[in-house]
Amino acid sequence: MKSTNEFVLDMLEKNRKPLIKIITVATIGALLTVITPYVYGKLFDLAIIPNTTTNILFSLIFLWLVLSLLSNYISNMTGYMGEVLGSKMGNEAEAEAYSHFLTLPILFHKKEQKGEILQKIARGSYSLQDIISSVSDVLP
Amino acid sequence: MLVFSLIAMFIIRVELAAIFVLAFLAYILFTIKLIKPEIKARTKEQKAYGKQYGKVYDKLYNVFLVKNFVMEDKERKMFFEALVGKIMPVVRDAANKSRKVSVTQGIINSISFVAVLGGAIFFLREGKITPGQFVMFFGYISLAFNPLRFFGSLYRKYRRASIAIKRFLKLQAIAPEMMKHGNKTFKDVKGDINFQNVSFGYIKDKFVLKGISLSIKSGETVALVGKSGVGKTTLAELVMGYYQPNKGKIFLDKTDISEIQLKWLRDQIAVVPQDLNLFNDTLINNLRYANPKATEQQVIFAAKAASADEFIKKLPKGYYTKVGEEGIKLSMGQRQRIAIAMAFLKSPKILILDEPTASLDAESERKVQEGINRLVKGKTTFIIAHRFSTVRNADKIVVLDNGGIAEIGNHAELMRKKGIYYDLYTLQKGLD
Repeated sequence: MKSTNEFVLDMLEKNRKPLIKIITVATIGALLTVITPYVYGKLFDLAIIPNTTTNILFSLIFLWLVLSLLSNYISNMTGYMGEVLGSKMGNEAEAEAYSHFLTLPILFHKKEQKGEILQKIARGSYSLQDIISSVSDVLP
Repeated sequence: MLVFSLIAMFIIRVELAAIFVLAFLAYILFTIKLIKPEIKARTKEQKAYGKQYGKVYDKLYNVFLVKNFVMEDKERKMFFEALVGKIMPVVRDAANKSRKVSVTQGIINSISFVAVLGGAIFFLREGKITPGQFVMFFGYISLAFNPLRFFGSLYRKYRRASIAIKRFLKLQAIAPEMMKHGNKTFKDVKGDINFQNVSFGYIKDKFVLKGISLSIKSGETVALVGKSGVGKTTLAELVMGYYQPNKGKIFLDKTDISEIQLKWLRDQIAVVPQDLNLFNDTLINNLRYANPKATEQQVIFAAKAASADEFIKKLPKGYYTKVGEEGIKLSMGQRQRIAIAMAFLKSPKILILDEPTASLDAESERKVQEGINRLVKGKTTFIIAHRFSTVRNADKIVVLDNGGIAEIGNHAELMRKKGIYYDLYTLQKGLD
């Protein structure tokens, strides 16, 4: 029997393309986000120096605004992509499990309670979907 | 984000970044340690959900039985007992353990934030960082804390999810039934079936069938009779490859069926069950389930042969009438004729009729019997029956008793013998 880690890695391997896309977008988003505190730190230092011109301060404020808007957009985009990938993987696993269910020996179907089995499938696939969707929150 | 923020923090002030890293490590270690009891509790929770949902769904699947015995109120109590009474204590325990982990994580967060804040104020007062760097540093802390919090919750989520995924994977690890079969197929099937010293039991060493040896020639009709639970259906299901004999072998045209590809084997067999559950779809789509390539004309031809066409035509949309959930809009006799039409469409070499007229009234039985008489022509047929009217014309009648074959012969021979068959026959005639 596969371990949970092996199973999740297998599923990720099958969805390598969208995963690479998410990692790329998330990395760009992280780079942009990480510049933001630097900009407002610099802004703070310049603001307390009396002879700093207003133009420089407004330029930095504008830069900060652009960066934060961009990083916000990318972060939402990463979340969206993660949710879509999570749902896709969860649904794939669920469809696979239902198909497997039909191939199981008749003795299994006579012995086991259908409700319990369906619940196992639904919970398992939902759990996979949930963790994959959440992974995008900590990338990279 | 975490990686980039850490790099930026180290660039601003190594000491402050080091405090943050220590706090980060403490957070991870405590999470890993404290999560174990939570995982145990969550495992119990999932098992409880699975078990109780099993009970609930079982009642939902048998809604007619519940209604027949007016058990709605009793089942309502059972639903609450299962979903609230049984599950909630386990949920409470798991939630409580989860809360302990969150509280500890919160404490580590607060302590580490205070430590970093204190350090930052110290360096600011010493003039080792500028006010801008102070602000910058806390910007990075908030950026780093977010993924850190997510890491914590993701790790917990992952451990929790792995319980559900493990149960899911256990199900996936059960070998499909075709794994126990070979891959042989052949072009022309005659339909000869041979049981050679076959024994089978659902539980180890508790045999339902013992040492069955039986030879059926192509096109023959064999009736399996005997008391309830004697193994009549099991014997037929062994031919379908539903089970593997514990001892002995079953041959189809001299090939051991365990060597035959399961899908191919089942393509050669059609079953007319005691009662047919239909899909919530049109009649034509239900009929085509037996043969998706069948044309409408072929479907109508099969329905006519099964004496089903006359009642189908009277339905509001004929063959395109939607039959309700599990086909409840049709009578049992009508569903039986649909089952026979499906068997016609499948056009198999072997037929299994599992008490097809057991629950029918005289008129429905006559119509179903007409369909069966047309269907069995040229096919190796097993009839599992309680009603002797359906077995009288069989080429061979096999009387099962105590897991073995007690008597075998045609109707006249067995009546002359005055054994079990004679007793059963006269008993039922008396009852009729």
